[in-house]
Amino acid sequence: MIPLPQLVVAGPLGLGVLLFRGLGLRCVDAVAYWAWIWIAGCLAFGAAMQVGIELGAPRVTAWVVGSAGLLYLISLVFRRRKREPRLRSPEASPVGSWFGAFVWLGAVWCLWFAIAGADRPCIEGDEGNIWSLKAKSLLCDWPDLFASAQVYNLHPDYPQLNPLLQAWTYCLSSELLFLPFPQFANRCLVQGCDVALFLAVAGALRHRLPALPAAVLSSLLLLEPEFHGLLRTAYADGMVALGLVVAVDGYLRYRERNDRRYAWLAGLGLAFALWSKNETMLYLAAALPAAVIARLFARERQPLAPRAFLPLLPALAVIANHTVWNWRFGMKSDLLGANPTGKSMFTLMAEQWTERVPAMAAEAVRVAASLQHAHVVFVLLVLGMFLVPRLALRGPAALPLLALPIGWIGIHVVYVGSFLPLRFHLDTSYARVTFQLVPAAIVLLGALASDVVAARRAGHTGPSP
Amino acid sequence: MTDETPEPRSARVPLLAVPWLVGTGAVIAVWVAVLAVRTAGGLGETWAAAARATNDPEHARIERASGLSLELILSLQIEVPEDARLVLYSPYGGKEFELDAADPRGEPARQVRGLFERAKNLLYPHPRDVHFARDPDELLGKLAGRAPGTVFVLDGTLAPDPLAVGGRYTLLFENPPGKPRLRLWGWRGR
Repeated sequence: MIPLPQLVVAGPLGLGVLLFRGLGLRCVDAVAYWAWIWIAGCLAFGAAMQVGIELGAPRVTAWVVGSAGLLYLISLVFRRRKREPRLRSPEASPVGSWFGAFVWLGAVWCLWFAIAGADRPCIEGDEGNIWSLKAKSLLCDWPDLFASAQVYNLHPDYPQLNPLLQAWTYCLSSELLFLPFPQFANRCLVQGCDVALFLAVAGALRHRLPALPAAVLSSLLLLEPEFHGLLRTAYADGMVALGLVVAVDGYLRYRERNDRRYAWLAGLGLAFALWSKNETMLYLAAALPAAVIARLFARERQPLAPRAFLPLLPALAVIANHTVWNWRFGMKSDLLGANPTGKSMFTLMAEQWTERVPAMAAEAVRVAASLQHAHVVFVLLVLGMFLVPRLALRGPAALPLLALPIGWIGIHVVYVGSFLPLRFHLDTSYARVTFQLVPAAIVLLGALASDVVAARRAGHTGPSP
Repeated sequence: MTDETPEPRSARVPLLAVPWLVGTGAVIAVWVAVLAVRTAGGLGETWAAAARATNDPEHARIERASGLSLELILSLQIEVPEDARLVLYSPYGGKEFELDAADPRGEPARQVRGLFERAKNLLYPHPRDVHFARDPDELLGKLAGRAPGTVFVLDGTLAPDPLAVGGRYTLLFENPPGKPRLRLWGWRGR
């Protein structure tokens, strides 16, 4: 039996709606809202799947037990928050019929690429060697063989959300006549994350910009070849990008309105990205010096209340879960020495620094200037930070604006410390990994442009200090 | 949940703000236009892939992508136990140049690795233990320490001779004429 796409997709959507009602966030943005409930639903589903698998529930019922319990908890939260004031209609972001039509066409465009992906089974590259392999292993090796079976996985230490989402689809699918697992439908929810990525970017841009510039900037994503590749496969890089965009958008909305519900939205986005792929730890680390610098530049420094950090709880829970998981099964990162050289990233970095830094710099310039990619947004964003420093570094977007280039540099440093031959490593992953930051950079570019226009309209012009 | 007053927008705009805004708009317009043209050039391939995805049966798409025919997959499922070892063997070298995509000498090794990855991920967990060998020594290494009957070799050798590296084998399956030459051997010991 082919899995019912409606059922596969309806699960996360339904959980996401309930979770958002629990947070008190209704449909205040007709475009981005779908991406928000998608990540919330996928997080809830990932948790439900993990609980189901941990409990040793039979394959087909694992998701039922886990998600039913979660649904009940969410409904309790919803009931408790029911009397809190809801967001009023004036806060709803404008969409407009013209932009609405663009979004519909963009979503159909994304779905078309996702359908084209079913031309090839999910057995190649990272989607075959890492993500779907672990999803299969979660179901057929659990619990006794799971740890030992990870020797067949290229990166056993990677986070679980992607495999858990694929495992959910496997649960709904019966075996193919001639193979133990289906080979196409398992991508479904991960591809849904890539469609949600477009909606998150379009919604975030339209919230801050008029329809035409918002559509043009969103088109950068729709036309980016790496995005097309992600739509056709089950790679986790689009999931990271989605989590980062929602985190950035949620943070900016929180700073604009001082509404803590958006801080929780940002927290969910960060948790989603962290549970998707390890690079997010690097971006989180990049956010720490960025936060310090942003605070130094801030016009008004308000005291930091412990309550302000509560929205980071989902992210901390993900980090704790992932750390315990890897410790429990003895999974180590190749960057920390679990590679054929036996050397850690830092040792290799010291050995290869002089040889690799010029090559990395050349690659960064080549891709950022390439008309084949949308990575030029990094250049435009950094240029904006230098040319309009007051708006960039003293405005509400200072933290993500600073974190993004630090994270981008961090990716390059990791390549310097890679045990793989540099050219091979760059050819197989550089554009895709750096793409993780492109959608967030597009949103930040839109936010900075919006701030410039708003400041000019307010008549505050003058020389830069 | 609103707990603080909104932060005011920035007070002053530097003179370079407008040039940055105009320049950014121009660069974005150029990039979108070029990317649109490039994307349009690839739409035919995407359209064809979508058509195959919706029209072709699953086994045909799997065979086209993996190089493994339905008959061979069925044979592997029947003949190879779940706890056995499967070795993909193609003795055409090139492993020294494998990681340099621009070097054609590495192409045979890259093809073996590609077939190995596709077969491993397609068949998992039946069997789990899949390896590849690009010369007789590598194949001998995969046989070392294994009991007869627990190793199976998917042989991509073009010559018609029976496989004899490391002992005796039983031919279990051979791709029919018109398909890539692949034979499945069961290792019977030295």
